This record gives sequence, C-alpha cells and structure tokens, in this order.
Amino acid sequence: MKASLVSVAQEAGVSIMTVSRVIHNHPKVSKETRSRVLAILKKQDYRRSPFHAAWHVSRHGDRVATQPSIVFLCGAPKGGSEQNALKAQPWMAAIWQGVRERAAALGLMVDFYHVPSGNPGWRRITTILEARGVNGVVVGPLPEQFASIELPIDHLALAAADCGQALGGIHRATQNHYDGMRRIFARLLAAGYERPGMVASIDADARACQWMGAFLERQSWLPVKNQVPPLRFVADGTEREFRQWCEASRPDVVVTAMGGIARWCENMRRGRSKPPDLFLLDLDGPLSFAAKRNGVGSRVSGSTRYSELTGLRYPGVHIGTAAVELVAAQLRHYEHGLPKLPKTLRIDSIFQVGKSCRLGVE
Amino acid sequence: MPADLLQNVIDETGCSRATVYRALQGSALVSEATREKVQAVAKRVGLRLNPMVGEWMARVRNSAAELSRQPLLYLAGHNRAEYAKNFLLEASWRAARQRARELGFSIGISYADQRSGGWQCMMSHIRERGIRGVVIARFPPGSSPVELPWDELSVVAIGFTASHPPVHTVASHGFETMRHSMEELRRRGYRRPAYVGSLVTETIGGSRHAADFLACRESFPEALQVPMLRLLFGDDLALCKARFLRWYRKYRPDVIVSGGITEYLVWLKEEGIRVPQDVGYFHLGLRKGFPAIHHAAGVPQPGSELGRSAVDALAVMLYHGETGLPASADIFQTFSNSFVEGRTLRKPMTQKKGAKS
Repeated sequence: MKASLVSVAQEAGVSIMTVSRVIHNHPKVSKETRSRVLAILKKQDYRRSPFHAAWHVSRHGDRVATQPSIVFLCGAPKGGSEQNALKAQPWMAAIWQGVRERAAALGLMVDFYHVPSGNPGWRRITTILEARGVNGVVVGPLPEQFASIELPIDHLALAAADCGQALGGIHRATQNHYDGMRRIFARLLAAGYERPGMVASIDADARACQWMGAFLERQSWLPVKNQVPPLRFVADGTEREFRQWCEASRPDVVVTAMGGIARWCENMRRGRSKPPDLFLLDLDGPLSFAAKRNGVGSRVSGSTRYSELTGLRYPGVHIGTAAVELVAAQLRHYEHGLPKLPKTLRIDSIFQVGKSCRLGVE
Repeated sequence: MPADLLQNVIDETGCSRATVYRALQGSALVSEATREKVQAVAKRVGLRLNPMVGEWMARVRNSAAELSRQPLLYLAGHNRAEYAKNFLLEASWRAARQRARELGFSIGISYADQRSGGWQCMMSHIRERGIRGVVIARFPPGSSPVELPWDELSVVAIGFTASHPPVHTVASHGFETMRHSMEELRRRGYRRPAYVGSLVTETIGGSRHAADFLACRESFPEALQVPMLRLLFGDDLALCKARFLRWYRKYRPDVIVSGGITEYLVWLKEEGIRVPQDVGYFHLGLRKGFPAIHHAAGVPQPGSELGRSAVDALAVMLYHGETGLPASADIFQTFSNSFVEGRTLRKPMTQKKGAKS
C-alpha cells in the first residue's frame, strides 16, 4: 500500500490534520505525538510529491504572511534598543535589510529580536518563539561571550548570517574570503605592485585567517625577494610595530582588515616618510569595526574617509538575503534541527575603488 | 511566486491578484488587452509562473493528467565504465539519487558516452522528458563546454570541473575540513606541521588545499618558519625525491600534510626515516572504499556530500520556480567531519600530557 496521510493517521490514531501539522512542523503538536507520527511517517516511507511542494510554496508564498514566521536574532549592546543595536553596528543593519527584503519576497514575515549581551534570557526567547509559532531563526552576529544558543533547536530551522560562531553545525552564509583574496592579489599585481604585504590580527578569528591563508598562498608564487613577511598582531598591535615593519620589509601596498591602519599611514606621511598604499578588507564590516573599537586608530581621521579608500565592501545585504534563503529552504522541506550536512554559502564582496591604492584589471 | 514581484505587477497594472494569475496562464477569461498588458509587465519585472505548479494544478483539476515522471537529470561527465570504476563518482550519484527520493523526485542519469549526438541531441532529450532540473556532475579535464537550454532549466553544478556559464555550485568546505584536521594533529601533540603539494594538482584545484593549510597554520606558531614545498612531478622523480629530502632535513617538520600522491611515504621509508615515530603523515585525499595506501591517516575526498547538497539546492530552486542562469552564482560549501584513523600518525596524547594545551 502506498503511504498517505490517511494511512499514517490511522496507524498513529490521530487525525489527518495532526499528521499534516507534524509534516509542516507546526508548533502546536505535543512532543510525544510529533515523535510518534514522525516515526510512522518514516516507517511507511511517506513522501510528498515535489509538484505538490511547489504548489504549496506558490500558494503560501505569494503574499506576505501577517504573522511572523521567522525571527532575526542579533546581539545588542547592554540595555540597547533595536535602533541602537543597528545604529552602533552598521554591518548588522545591512544584514537585517537583506533578511527583511528577502523574507518579504518569499512570503515570510520576519521579526527582529536583539539579545542583550549581559543576560541573553534564552528561556524568555523560547517562550516567545513558541507562543508565536515561529519555527525559523536567522542567527545574526552575537556577542562573543555566548558559548551556545540555548533554544529548542530540534524544532527550528536555523541559519547563521556571517560568522556567528556561537552555534556550529548549522547552515551559514558568509563572505567568499578565498576567491576575494585571489582577485585582490591579481588586481594589485596587474596595477604594477610588486611587494604586497599583509597586516592581520589573527587571534581566533577564522575570517582573518582565511584571508591570510589565501594571501600567503598567492604570495608564495612571487619571486622570493618580493615575499614580504606578513605582520601578525596579537590582539591589536601598535603603531610603532607597524612603522618598523614598513621600514624593514618595504611593502609597496598593504592589505589589511584593520581600519585604523589608514590613520597610521597618514601619520607616516606627516612624518615625511612614504607610507605604503593601502587596500582595506572588510571596509564597512565587523572586522574593521572591531579593530576601531579596540583602538587600532579609533577612526579613520584627517583627510582620509572610508569612501575614499580602496577595498572590499562588506556584502551584508547579500549575506542576510542568503541566510533567509537557507532558512526558507529548510522550512520548504519541513526540515528542522541541526542539518545532516551543514552548508556554507559563500558570497562575493564588492570592490570599492578609491584613492588609497591602484587596482588593475583581472 | 515571489510576493514582491507579484505585488509590483498588481500595483503597476491595477489588476487583481486573480486577474494577474489568469493573464499569465493565458486564460480566455481575461481580455486580450489586459492579458498583453499583464504579460508585458510580468516579463519586465521578471515574474514567471512555476511550471511545476501548473502541472500540479492540471493534475488536481483532471486526475488523468500525468505529472512528468522524471523532472531531474544527473549529467555525468565521465562515461559509464568510468562510473563503475570510480567510487567517488558513483558515491556522488548514489547520494543525489537518495536525496531526490527523500524529496519525492525521481532522477535519471545521462553518461558522457551516451551523448553521441552531441549537445543538440541532449537538449531535445531534456525537452522530450520534461526535465526541469539538472545536476552537472564532475567532468574530466579538457571536456567540451556544456551546452544546455539554460533559460528553461534550474541548474546546479558539482565542483568547478565542467565549463559552462556561472551557475550555483556545490563544493566541499576545504577550510573547515582543514581546521578539523589540524585540530586532530594538535591533539596528537604535533607542533610543526608542513605542507607538500604537487604543482599540477594544485593548479587544477585552484590551490585551495595550500591556502587552507596556510590559514589554519596561523595557530601553530612553531610551524610558521617551515615553507611549503611544491613539487613538479615530471619524468624526474629522483630530482623530486632529492628536493623533498633536502627540504625535510632542513626544516624538520613533525608531520607532513599532503593532498596529492603518497610517494613521500615511500621516499621516507627508503631513507630509513620512520613513520610515525620520526615524522607523521596526514593525507587529504583518501579514497573511500579503496584500501588505504600505506594505511595513511587523513580525510577522504568528498563524494556523497556533494551529490546530496546539489539535489537539495536544486529542489529549492524548483519549488520557487527559479529557472535560467542566476543573477549571481552562489557557492555552497558542505562539510562533514570524517577523519580516518591510520598508521601514519601517533596516538592522541593522554589527558595528562595534553592538559597544558
């Protein structure tokens, strides 16, 4: 006999509607019933028609829901409101914009929820999610001190926007660091630079490490005399270290995610020594902001502005878009909990051509 | 159908939702003028009906209407004999089929040697069978560019081996694999890992192994002094061996990480250098299902993960009616932690010894 909603309902001793709710991951089904029905669905090998699934998406996806079906979780400064959280962290505002817009296009309504850094209050969030019937969560950047996310993960479709490291094993949308660096390198060489150098604060940040890895790999193909040893900062480093490194290794262009270095270059120019040209990774992204907050040149000052620098812009809107798509895909498949095979979606960054260095054609 | 695009058409034409749908379906209930107006606006904003929904509705209205039997196609770049031999190709195809079944799709495979009629023949095959989604599997180097009716299909590629216009691609998460591998080495007390690669395979793979290794090595301060070694395996193996040994003796790595061949183990043995007592060895491209060469420890090449992810991505595109080449091609990287124990690494350090790190 071919499995159907009816045959499953009969065996489980529940109504057809209940079986349907279980398949659609409706939160109003008790845990025991859910697991019993899921077991029977699996045993009878019930499969939906993909044509029906497509119809279901079309039927329910062509107008924006009136009730939130997913939430966007992000960290917030202590006691901060939603507005403050976004204002203080512009890259997060970009992610949120992408999340909101894409959710609307997919017919999902999305709520913003900021997690205060002092006391996350996971239980309260759990209650709210359950009460509202929310079953999708986009995990935005959260404060580093959260070791884990204590939510009923088994019943949620999750995806992380960028490197929310608090939760491993879930789908993630983030920058394409590797191909980004390869393109940067090619364009710098095409512009005639011969001795590119890199400065990074590499303690425990996978983003900086991936850029560094791709940089070192590209660099290993240059003539040995032009291989500038990278400057690795533990934590933030000092202006003096940077200046000494410039004098000793004479890079003609410096690639870095640390925004404050623009000011150090400015100071060098004032001190009548010629600073290297500058390519900034993560121009308006979390890394350059973290560096600013930690005091590597608290801001880009003097005549230099971010808009005048050459570098990579943070693809926040695209990251948000992609993260929502990853959540929506799971909701469409009625899948929840940690995925069997976590996926990372790589988003290309956009070049900003400014005055701080030349760029050639790839 | 995308809610925002639909709303755009509704706003611009002033028609109701139902009228827009009818006009797009070419219904006679809508006047010709309105139909043309709606279709023109829809075309401009990029709103299209999902053909799968159309099929389903036809089926609902008329139970005799048949659904296309095989909406998915797995386009194999190698021939059938190659698939029978190569475990990885086979694993990827099996996983794709398995995932398709889980989602209720049926999927067929088309091998390179069946395409004697060329791509023209392939296109008519696709149209005749009502195929809507295509997975482009790995292709052998030097294959001719893939030609498909791109506008009518949803397409996902596995890896970067076939040449075609940019489409969504699934690949393995090299960085994450490397990070876990290096952590495994750290647990075993290794502090000076070094990388050896073959120039040719490196270039084909876009040097990802090397870059991922360098990225993960950042957390091994002692290893930063050891340069990468890349050998050009040509006719002169003796020269490669000499370079390898010179490099090894000069920099004394405590474990060698490699993605290509396992020749290094033979060379070490010939010189009386013991593995794993003197130096460890970690292989990045073990072949699942084959007897491990020299019982090397390492991670297997990805196979099944990619087939599964490709169908996953394809299914979602079909549900949303996303056909044609994407505005921006995404890369999905999948990761599964799959360390394989072997005889070329020393045992993990006991808690007492490792407590410091």
